[in-house]
Amino acid sequence: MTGINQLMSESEVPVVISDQRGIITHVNESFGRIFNWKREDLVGKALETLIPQNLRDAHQMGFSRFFVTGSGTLLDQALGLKIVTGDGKEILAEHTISAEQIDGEWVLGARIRPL
Amino acid sequence: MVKNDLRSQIESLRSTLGKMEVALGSISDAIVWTDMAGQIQWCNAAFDRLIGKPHIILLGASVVDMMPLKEHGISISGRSHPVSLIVDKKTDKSGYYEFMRREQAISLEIMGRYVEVGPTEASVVVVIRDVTRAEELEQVKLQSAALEAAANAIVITDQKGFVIWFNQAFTALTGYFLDEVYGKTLSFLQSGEHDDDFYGNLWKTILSGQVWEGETTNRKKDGCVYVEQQMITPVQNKEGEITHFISIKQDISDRKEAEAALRDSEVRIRTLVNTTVDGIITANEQGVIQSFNPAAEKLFGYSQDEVMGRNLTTLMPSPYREEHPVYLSNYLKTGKRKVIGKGREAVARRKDGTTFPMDLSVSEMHVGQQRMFTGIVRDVTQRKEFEKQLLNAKAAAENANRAKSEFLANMSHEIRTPMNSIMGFTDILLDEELPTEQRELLETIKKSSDRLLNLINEILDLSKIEAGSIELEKIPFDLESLVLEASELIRPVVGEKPIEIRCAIEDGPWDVVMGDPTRIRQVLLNLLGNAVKFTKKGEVVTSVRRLEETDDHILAEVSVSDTGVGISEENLTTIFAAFTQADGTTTRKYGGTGLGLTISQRLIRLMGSEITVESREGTGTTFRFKIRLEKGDAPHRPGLAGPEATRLGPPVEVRGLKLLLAEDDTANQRLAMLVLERMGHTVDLAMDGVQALEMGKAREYDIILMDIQMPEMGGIEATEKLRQAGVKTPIIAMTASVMQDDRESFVDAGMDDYVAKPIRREVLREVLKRHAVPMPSSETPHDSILPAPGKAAEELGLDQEEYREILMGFIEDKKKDMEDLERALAQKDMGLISRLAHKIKGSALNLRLDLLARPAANIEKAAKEGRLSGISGDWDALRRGFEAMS
Repeated sequence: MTGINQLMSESEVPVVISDQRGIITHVNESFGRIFNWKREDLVGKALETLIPQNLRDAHQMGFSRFFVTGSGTLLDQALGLKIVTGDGKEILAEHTISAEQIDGEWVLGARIRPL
Repeated sequence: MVKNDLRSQIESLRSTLGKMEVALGSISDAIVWTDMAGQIQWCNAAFDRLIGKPHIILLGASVVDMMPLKEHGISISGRSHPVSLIVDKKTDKSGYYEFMRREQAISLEIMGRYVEVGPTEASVVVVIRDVTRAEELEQVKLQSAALEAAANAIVITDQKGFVIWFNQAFTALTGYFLDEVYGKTLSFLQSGEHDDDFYGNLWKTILSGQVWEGETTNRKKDGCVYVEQQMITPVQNKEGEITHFISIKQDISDRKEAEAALRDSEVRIRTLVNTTVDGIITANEQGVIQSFNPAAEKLFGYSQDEVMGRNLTTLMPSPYREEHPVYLSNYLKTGKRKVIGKGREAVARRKDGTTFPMDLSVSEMHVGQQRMFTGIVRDVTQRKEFEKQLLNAKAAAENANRAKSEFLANMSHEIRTPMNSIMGFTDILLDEELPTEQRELLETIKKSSDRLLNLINEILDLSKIEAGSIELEKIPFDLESLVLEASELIRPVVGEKPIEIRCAIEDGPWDVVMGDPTRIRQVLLNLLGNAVKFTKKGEVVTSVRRLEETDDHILAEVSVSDTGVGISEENLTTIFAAFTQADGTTTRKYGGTGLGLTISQRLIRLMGSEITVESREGTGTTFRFKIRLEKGDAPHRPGLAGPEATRLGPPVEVRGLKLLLAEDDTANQRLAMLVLERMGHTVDLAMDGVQALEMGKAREYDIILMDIQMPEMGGIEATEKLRQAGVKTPIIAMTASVMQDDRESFVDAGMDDYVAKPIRREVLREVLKRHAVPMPSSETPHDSILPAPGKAAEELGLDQEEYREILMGFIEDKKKDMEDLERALAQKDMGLISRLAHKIKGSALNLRLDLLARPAANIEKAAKEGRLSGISGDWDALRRGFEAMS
């Protein structure tokens, strides 16, 4: 189990962290470099920014479910999903998503390695 | 804060969406939506389960690929897929489809909606419902309805045997309704017919998962017991546990009854076959024995085992043994029957080789495809024996009957011969001059003889009728003449009684008819005789009328009515019975045998009719019979007239015949000689047939009188020989036998007539007259009327006393004439002799004194011829007769 703090300090593997509302709160340098994003273009934006159009409904539904129930079916496992790059491409990447409650609010983080 | 507002708004949306996700993920309908390319954008857990793939795989995948469908068994993919149709047509689409999930077909109800999200964006939202189960339920409902409507009773119980369902047929069968017995065990049907073991075995079978099948005797709600054929099937779940039992029942009471009836009748037939006294044998087409009942075993001495499979010929002696196979194969080929379907007598062979006669009846039957023959054999040894005995007995009876007839004929002859003498000599004695006392005694003898002879004749007649030996003649005759003649014949019997005899015969010509006039005359004479006998005064009327007349026949009614004493009602029924007269005193008072009516009735019955009688005591009696007679016109058949047919007209004397009398009995010789000579005939005597033959050939006689029964040579043989010798002389049989057979033999022998013994003078005289060649000398009317003095009074209608008075007058009157005649004879005054003799003759004739008239006539005749020689005998006779009367 990799805690959010660990993710915050991760430098090698691209990491993205959001609050419980799906707003991006942190991306590391590796993420920006590998997926061709500028940090300031992502922080404060919705996670949908990184999710391809045809997965957005599933994301919204699944994220909302987690928001309501606090449990997620896709957490802590490697998922092959497409991700939108800063130059508008969609590339397949291995997502490993984890969640942690900090100060009464859920914080979600994901390691995303391009395949 | 704008920023905080936004956050809370996002959270609110997240909350809403999250609850929706939870809700949609919880429902059983599968929900999926795709973009316009058909790629899955979201689906719920039910969809995941339906497709059977991880959620993550499905996301972004093509719904058409993930969910291949069939419609009515045909795969629809690509553009035919409902999602493609929605995309293409931008319209909703619903329908039922089949989907294969892990090789299992499930039915889906798919409702697809086309949803425009914005001006450029649209989605396809699809809700998918698995309706497989619903369809199955529908099926179950149908099946349930079918079960409900099934003809067989069906019961479903749970694994413990508690009723949970049954159909209408069960109610119809048992009378129970489901709400009455729901949750109960089926033991309410038990009739008590089966023991615990029966039910124990049943449960053991079905609890082991096997089907139990059998017949159960159960009781209906109304108490009636019935028999059902039942099949109980255990129902098991996936785990192999028994959850239910299904029982299917069928009422087979009718079948059981029919079976029982069949069994009963089979038992009956078997019992019959096994216990009958007739042998019953069945054989197949080849004649091979198929069954052999106990009676057959007894009859033939074979056991069933010994003859089974052997040919029928085993049971037959030669030649049946050899003929049978030929006959059988011939029958099978041609269908020509000899024995089959009818009975016949045959001979059977026992095991020990002996044979017995049998009645055999064979019938044919078809058992399935097989043709079989059944033979029923009855031993008729006893019957045969009995038949033989019967035949013997019959022959014995016939012999006895013949012996009786012969005895009667003989007896009749034996009695008639002495009777002939008694009656004949009595007549002759009565011709003599006798003291009154002796004459009366003789007359009593004569009367008794007459009655005795009559009795013998009637007994003989009756016995002939009873023996059936009377054959009716069928010769032409005239009924009118016959009736008139019978009336005339009876007239002399009336005597002095004031009775008028008359005939009332219907007018018109009476055609000649065919029949037996002799017998009809006999009947009429009997009826008339009775009428006269029982009538004191008044009349006796014979009536004849036609009831019917056609070209072929006449139906006539003949009746004889009298004004006599009549017959009482109780006696009317018995008068036709043999030996019966109206009452016992009748015989004493009126005489007679009482057989006359019996004989008459039998004779008329022989003619196909019946004599009926009406009578009132003191008023009179009428006897009546109808007679149907064929018409005929053939000439009178030549034959013997017989004594009954002899017309007793006024006696006409035929004199001076040359006669040959053949008679062996000396008494009869003397009698016949006397009678014939007194009739004025010359008689030669032959002592037997041999002499008769010699004499008949040597001399020419006017008539030969031939006794039938003589030593050396009988009358018949003598007659035959005479005829062979060319002798044409009329020959008249004299016989005591009067059987029909005898008469025929007389004719066959060449005889012309016969007279029955005892010979009556009137009859003899008549017969002689019939056969004599008329002689000129006997043509004078006076000469021909010479009645016997014994009958004189009767013929003159006077009683003895009156007659005696008249005779006394005659004697006084003729005394002088006799004295004158004696003188004239002495003087040989021919003229005077002739005149006086004529005078005496005439007076004597008036008084029927032929004893005087005959010699007087002879004297007159001789005197007229101018000769006196040979008249001394006549004068003596005349004088003696006159003196005797004086």
